[in-house]
Amino acid sequence: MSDVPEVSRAEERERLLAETLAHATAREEAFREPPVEAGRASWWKVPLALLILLAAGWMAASPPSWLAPATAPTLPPGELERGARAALYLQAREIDAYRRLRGRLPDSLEELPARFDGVRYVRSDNRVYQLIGTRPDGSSLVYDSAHPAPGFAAVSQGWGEGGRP
Amino acid sequence: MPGGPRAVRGWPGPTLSDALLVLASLALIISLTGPYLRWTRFERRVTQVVLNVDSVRTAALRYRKRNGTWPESAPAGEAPPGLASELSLRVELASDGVRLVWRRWSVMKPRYEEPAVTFTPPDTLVSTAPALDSLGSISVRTPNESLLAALLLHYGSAASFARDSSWTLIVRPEPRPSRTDSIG
Repeated sequence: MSDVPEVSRAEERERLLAETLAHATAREEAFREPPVEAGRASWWKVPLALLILLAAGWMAASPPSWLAPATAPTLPPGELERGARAALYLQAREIDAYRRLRGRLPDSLEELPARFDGVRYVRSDNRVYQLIGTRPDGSSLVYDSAHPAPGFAAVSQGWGEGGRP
Repeated sequence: MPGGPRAVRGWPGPTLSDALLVLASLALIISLTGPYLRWTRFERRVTQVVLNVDSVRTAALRYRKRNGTWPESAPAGEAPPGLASELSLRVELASDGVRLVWRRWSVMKPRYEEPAVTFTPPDTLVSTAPALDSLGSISVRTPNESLLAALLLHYGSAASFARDSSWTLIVRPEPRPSRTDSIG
């Protein structure tokens, strides 16, 4: 038997313990459940997010002029056909130079020191040949050495020729 | 920190609407900055290609001045023979889907007509104007049509042309200054 007197009875201690546990459980539940006010206060987030997504999609699909510094340049209409003519004309002048130096036409473009891709060469006889290129629309563009169209020579006017070779 | 842990612990965490809002904001930022970033990247690419073309052209002109002829043609993306030492290490002849091609053309002079076969006495002076000419060309091969258009705008359509995913610049020697230019 201890000399220290009891400070409380067993029933009192059990009651205090039960009250403490109940209080702790109630606090825990209060923290765990979201307050009803928070759910009500964020109702605007979904429509706002959809609105922002819509604006982002619109700006990505067709960016307004104030957003992009400038649009990427595009080739002017007719430029690709002019380029095809220029390539055929330059190739033809090289074939003519080859004939003047060697006295005959080349059997194929592989004999020439420089050539453009996508140009076909057809030799009719020892003096006449055709060069065939492709227009942007897929149709054929033909340079006939016997009767070259005047449009071919016109493309070389800005090449700065006529000086010292 | 009194109250801090309690406040964090009390926060229910991000909801679906919060996540949606953050994602939408990110999409808006990307769509706002995207065009500008694309444009600056394109401009940087054009500047780099122009720098490469100018370097090859300058080196070819220097080569011609020294040797009296243009460098020989070279395969796409490779330095012309005899020009590799002239080109700076920063010159990229093949990079990022763009390839530069140097070609040397031996061509007939434009509007040259063969002299008519007529009888001329042996002591007659006939015109000996050379019929042959030589040109250099620098081509840029790329599937990017905007890049071709930018090069055409930069160098002008008089001295260059575009065709079949490539752009070509005709290189000619710079004209000699005339006598009147050198006076004064």
